Amino acid sequence: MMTKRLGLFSVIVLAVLIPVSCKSKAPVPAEKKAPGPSQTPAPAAELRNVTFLPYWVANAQFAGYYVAKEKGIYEKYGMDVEIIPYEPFYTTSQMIQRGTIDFAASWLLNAIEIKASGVDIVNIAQFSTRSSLMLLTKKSSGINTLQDMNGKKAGIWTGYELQPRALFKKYDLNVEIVPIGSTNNLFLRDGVPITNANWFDEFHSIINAGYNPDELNIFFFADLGLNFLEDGIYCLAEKRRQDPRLCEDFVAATAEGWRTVFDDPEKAIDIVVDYARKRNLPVNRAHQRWMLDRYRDLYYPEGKFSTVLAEKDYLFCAGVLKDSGQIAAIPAFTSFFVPVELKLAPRKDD
Amino acid sequence: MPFFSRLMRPSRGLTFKFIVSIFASVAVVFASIVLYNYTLSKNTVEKNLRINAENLTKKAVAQIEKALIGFQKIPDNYSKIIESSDFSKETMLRILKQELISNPEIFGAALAFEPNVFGDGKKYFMAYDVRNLGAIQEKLLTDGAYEYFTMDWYQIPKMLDRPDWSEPYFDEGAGNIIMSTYSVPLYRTIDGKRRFVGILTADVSLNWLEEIVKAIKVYETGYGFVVSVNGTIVTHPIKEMMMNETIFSIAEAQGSKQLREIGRNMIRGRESFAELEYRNVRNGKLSWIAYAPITLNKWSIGVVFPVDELMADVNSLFKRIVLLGLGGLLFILVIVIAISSSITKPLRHLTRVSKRIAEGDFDAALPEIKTRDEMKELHDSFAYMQKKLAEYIVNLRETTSAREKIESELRIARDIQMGMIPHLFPPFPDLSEIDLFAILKPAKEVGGDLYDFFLLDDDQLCFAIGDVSGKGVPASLFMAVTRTLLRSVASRQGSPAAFIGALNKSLSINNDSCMFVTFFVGVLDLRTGELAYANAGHNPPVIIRKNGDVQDLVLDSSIPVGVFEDQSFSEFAVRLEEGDKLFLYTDGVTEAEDRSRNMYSVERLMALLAGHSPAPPEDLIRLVERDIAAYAGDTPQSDDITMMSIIYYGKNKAALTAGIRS
Repeated sequence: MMTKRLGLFSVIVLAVLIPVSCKSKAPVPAEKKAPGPSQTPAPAAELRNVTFLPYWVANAQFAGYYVAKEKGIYEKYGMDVEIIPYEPFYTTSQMIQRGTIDFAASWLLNAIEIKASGVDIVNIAQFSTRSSLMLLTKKSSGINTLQDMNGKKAGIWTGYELQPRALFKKYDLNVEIVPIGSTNNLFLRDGVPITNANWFDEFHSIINAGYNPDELNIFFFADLGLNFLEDGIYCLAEKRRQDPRLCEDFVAATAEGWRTVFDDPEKAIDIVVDYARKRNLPVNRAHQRWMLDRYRDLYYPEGKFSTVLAEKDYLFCAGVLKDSGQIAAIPAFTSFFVPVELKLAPRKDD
Repeated sequence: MPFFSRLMRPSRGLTFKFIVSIFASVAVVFASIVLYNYTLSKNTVEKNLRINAENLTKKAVAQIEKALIGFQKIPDNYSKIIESSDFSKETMLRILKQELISNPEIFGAALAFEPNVFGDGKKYFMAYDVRNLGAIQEKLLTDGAYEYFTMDWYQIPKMLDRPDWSEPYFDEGAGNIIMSTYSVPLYRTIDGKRRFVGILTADVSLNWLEEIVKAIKVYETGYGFVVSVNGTIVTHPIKEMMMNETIFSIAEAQGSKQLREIGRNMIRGRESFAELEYRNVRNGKLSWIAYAPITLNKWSIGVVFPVDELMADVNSLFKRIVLLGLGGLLFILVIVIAISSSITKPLRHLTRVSKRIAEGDFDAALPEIKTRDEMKELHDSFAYMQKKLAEYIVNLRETTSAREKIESELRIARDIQMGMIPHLFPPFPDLSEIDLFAILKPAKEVGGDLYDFFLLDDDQLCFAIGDVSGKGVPASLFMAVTRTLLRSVASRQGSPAAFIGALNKSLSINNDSCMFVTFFVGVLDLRTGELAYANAGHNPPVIIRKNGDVQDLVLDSSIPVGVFEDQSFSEFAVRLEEGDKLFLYTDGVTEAEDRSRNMYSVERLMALLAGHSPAPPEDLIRLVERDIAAYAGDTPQSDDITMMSIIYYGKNKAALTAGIRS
């Protein structure tokens, strides 16, 4: 059967697996190992084993991680990183059997829910500074403004209803949310007149299913006062405490991976396409190129990274969660965001 | 056409122009024929292609739709069985398994229901039977681990309220084959209402589709492909394209707006059998594409026709014709060069000879012409011209020497003529009563104007001005005669009228050449200022009074000297006060012409004189001379210009000149 995305599975995975990973792995003494970015690559024997879980299948939205691994950047920072392939049908028990993860990527909203549910995770670097999520309508449907959505159906991914719901509430719109899977087919076949999409992914997929951009209306959540930040790197608070050096190295190496991606996108696309092919995922370069270009806009807007999570962005997101009853209390910001300093090694020719 | 005019600029040789014109014309005619031929052949091939493409594409569509209908029938029929069954879970499972057992072409089938359809309060009930190693494996999913409500195969037919073919997908379990699922919504009438209760599916391998499309052979490199309703490439000769690319992502990678448009037409169920601009993905060559919709699942089949192969025959014919034509053109070029060279060779020779003739070598040998065409005529004309030219030059030499002799004699004549009239100024340095100045500017070498003045005795100044009809030597001779006669008559007779009368008599006798002269004579008494004068048809002289008044002398209308022998002439008198002036002139002054042939005029002269009344005679005459020169500009002088001016001082020369000169 066809199936692609079940968004919150990654959240479940993250929530359950991190504690296990900590227990099952011997912590690496930070003071002894962990060569800094400026040091020469550590011999293979001394590499620290690290596992990372992306929240979605292999494609260019995780290019920085794949490139850092394939180009030996993680190794240069003294790590042997295993990127756990995302599986849509992970169940809790299966994941426990699979092994451990040290770091995971997650959207802020999902991470706050996990934190509030009692799993003590921390955000160590917030890469995305703007929500890429949007609502789309076809101009042919006559829905050209937010108000036009009143009384209409919107296809929203299961598990991602919070942000649209908050939007509809904010603008006092009565929109029926139709939970959908991971495709936009219901929207493409006129089953629903409104759907959600990521700018870097589904928007382009819809363009490449034959709709021209000028035939669509775009409503960015970020522009409508619902800028829920997305990609951040998370680990257990315990790991952040015990091995700050590892956290620092992982963030720095990942940032260097992304920088390498933006310096040479075609090579990065080669690597991502290889990963996707290995997993038998449909993949084409045009789409991956679009995705990288958008990630450059989202991650690297002025040729530099910002890994800081602003407290107001956190409180806004958490506030919406609390108001909707998804969480009982807002975890303290200082307990949630425990950043590492981004020590990005300069380029060789810089 | 700047290139053409530059190519054929006037400095180019005749041979060059000849060759270029003929060669270019022939090339244009040839190119037009070749192009016409090519277009015609191409259109014929294209027309055939359209028919061919339509047949081929529609045949494939018919095959595919036949197969699809075959597959659709199975779940369609089973859905009827289910809808009319007792709706127990056991029945459901049995029917599902039966669907697979009876239909080996179906790889897997699912039955999934809405929550609580069986009245047990359960949300999920889904059965999935699938072939596995020859057996049928039955799976029951009832715990929500598989959230089927949001799956396309369930949700789309439910929402659209009609059966639906899913987007194609890879099925790893089936050995990585491409499949599509046909879903039929199930309905049940409950409490008189038709309600949606679930979905029955059939998973079908698309291997058969690939086979049908693969069988489409178009020459060597043509091929067929199928896109889904989303534009996803379902079958394609390049495996990597399948499921990975959409026709739009290919268009994006190729940067081809046309291909994107073709894709949009395809997924919107349009058909076309001749569209260019599809780039063959296999070899990058521009191709034709034909496409037609598969209406049952809204997919579309495209067939790519390699243009270069289709056009191979036309192109090779075209190439051969072009080569032949180029050979022919080359041949024509050689012939044209040869002909034009043979034509222009004597011309070039003649050119060289004419240069030598121009340099004075009249004996230069002309080329020998053996033909009897225009070239021969030109040669003969040239020879005649050469002969005539030589004669003419001899003639010219003689004429020139004769003319030079005449000119020299004329120069002498002029010197003599000018010597006859007084030209030393002041003429009477010892006379304090008057001052006098005169000039004569002949229009040709020698002229017919004259002036003269002399003292009859100590107190009588005789002066005269005249203008002989005609110009040149005859006029000057007549003028000389007139002047000589005046001197002789003035020495004997007493009054101006008598002088003129005598003059007239003498000149009228034996005047066979019918010449005449206008003449004015005055006699001024230096003591009293009394002026006696007579006129024979001459312009009235001007009297300029000391107070600035300017007017013509009073005269009667008389006729010139030399016309009638017995003509009598009236005499007039006027008294000149001290400081008064006379200004005499011939019509050469007032009839001087400017560039537009307007005359200088009496009015302009009078105005000028009035404006400069105090000027002494020489200054006055030079002033008028300059004004005439300025008026005429570079217009040549057509008549003699003669002016004379006399001022009467009486006894007060010192006082009067001091007043003026200061």
